[in-house]
Amino acid sequence: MFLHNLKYACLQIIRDKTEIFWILAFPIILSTLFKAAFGNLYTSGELFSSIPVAIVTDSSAESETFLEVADSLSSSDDPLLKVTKTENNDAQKLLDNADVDGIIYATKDDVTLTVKENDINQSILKSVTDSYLVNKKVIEDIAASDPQNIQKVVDSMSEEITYNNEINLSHGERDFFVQYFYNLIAMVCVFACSSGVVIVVRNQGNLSAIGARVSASPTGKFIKLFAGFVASVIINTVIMMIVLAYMILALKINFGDNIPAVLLGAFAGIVMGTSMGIFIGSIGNMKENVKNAITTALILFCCVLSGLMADNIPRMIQKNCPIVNRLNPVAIVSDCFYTLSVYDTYERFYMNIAKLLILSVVFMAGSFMFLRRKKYASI
Amino acid sequence: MADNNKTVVKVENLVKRYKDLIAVDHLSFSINEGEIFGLLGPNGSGKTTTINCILSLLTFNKGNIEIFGKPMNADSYDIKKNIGIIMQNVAVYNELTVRENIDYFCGLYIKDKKERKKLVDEAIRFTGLEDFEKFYPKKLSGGLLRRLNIACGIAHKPKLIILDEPTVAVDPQSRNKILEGIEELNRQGATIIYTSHYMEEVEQLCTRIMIMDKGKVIATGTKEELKKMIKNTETITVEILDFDKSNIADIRQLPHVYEVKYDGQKLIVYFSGGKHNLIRVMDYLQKNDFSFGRVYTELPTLNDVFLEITGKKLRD
Repeated sequence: MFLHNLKYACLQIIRDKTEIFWILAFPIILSTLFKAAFGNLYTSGELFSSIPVAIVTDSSAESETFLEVADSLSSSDDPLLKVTKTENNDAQKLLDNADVDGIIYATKDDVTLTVKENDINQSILKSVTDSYLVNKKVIEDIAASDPQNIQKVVDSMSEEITYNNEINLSHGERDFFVQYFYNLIAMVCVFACSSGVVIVVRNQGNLSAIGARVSASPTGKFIKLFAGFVASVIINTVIMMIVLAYMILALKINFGDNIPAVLLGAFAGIVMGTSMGIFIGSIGNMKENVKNAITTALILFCCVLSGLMADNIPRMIQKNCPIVNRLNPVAIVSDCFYTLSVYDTYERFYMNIAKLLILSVVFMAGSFMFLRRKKYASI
Repeated sequence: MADNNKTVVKVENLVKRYKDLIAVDHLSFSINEGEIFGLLGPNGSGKTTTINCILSLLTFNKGNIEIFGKPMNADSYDIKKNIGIIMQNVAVYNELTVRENIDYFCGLYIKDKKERKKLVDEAIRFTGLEDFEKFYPKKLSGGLLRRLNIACGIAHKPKLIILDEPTVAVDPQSRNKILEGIEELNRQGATIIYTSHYMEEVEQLCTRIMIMDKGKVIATGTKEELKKMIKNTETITVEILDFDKSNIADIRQLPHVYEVKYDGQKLIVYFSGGKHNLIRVMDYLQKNDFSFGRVYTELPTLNDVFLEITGKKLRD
């Protein structure tokens, strides 16, 4: 009887186009978009590209000095600037065509910057010209007042002073963007919630005609519910494996050595998601569409709180009301994957897995309490 | 039809309240094996509530329900094994094909795969769904969907079949097929409870009828017994011109006439008992040289029974 129910519960989930869209098509489309959006940044790890700039000089000694500085900034392995030395008219054309982000006029009297937009690159160029002018003024003043110490000043200016010591928590090679994919996986795990709601609604005589027919049959309610729960976990896990395979093989996302842990986290997330859905489904006498709407709203709200949609919100919650995200099931799933991307040890990861399983037991026990009555006051 | 002695369903003093509303008010009846028992009443009369109480889907405030001689409750799986239900709303899974739906619901009653396959095949044949086995419910017409709904309820060959308004929103052709199917199930030995607010269906199908209104039993019996409960046995209508008061008085003197109306050039004569009433009316009209148009005679319907007892029509 259990296997009979399991077989048809699996078929129902597989053939539910809306459900399949959210657990299969949605993560595939979104992960592809992530990959496309991150583009070269993702594959090569290049977070910064050289800023194209036109430099117009008047052949004075002062302008030659600036050119030397600009050359040094454009000739390293990871150059800050991509310099084009040109005449004023050509420089204007380059700026108009957006081939350069700014024009630096280096003349005998001054170094000035002309830009058309206000963006990061323009700010960096402004910073370069300002630093040059400040340093030039310092050197000129020292040359005038204390010429014998000028070399010391130049040397101190060249030193790179570091006050912080960078320690990498993850000993492996950390992929900066993989967290986005972890967040996506966490979100899809929680989508199993809607399967849970459907399982309950279709087994309760007071919520649907199918529920009434099923309730009037000689098969116990909990056999049908458990079969539905197992079917949801199996289908969601298999689909998650397909999604992961797509991310790893087609999109070349680097999950490092964490793939078994990702699967374990996803499994725990799906178990929790389905249990949460069953719990929501078992509360109250609202019809299936109302419960689905409530579930979707709740999932999205939990996702927002957990930072799956905006990463500054969990910091704000952590500061003002940390208990919220300690109880938020979506935040626990999200944190589960976050620890995988950040830490080399699995202590916090396993702690999160345990929390998810405990939450699942709590949800299932709560559902049992609500569903154990077998007759309804109204249909 | 099976032996009529055994009681299959026994309801005693059933009361179901929704806060201040009494949906079922001290209802008592019993259904014998082999009967097609009709529950007739207007919408909101308590038919579906009664069915849901019988199936132990609903809690009730008072009363006893026994099925196959045993008390019925939500855990009575041995009783439930022998019950098939066809709900007013189509209860099938849109994600499963016609065959899968029937197999799924049959599988809730029958464990053995071979036996189940045979039963599913029979149910598909019985409801004429052979050409639609692989169709999904959304691709079926309203009538076919109702037939699938029935197939899901009867595939396991239940001894008691409960049909709650199975022909709502069904075209006449499909309705006839459904009614023929129900008669066939009864011939095969099933006891049937049939709820409807369509009196014609109930009259055509049911061997015994219980008329309900506001949760109470208005009358119970065969259709003949029910019709005998009211004064009227025949109504004759004649389209006729210039029928004056003296003529009306003459008609009133005919045997078994208890009321005469003349309105809008229509003479309506109500009889209580008697035979050859139409011949007597025709004789009178011919002897008095009346020219007349259409003449028709009507026997009382269950609606007349309901009207006379409650003062309102079934479909009010």
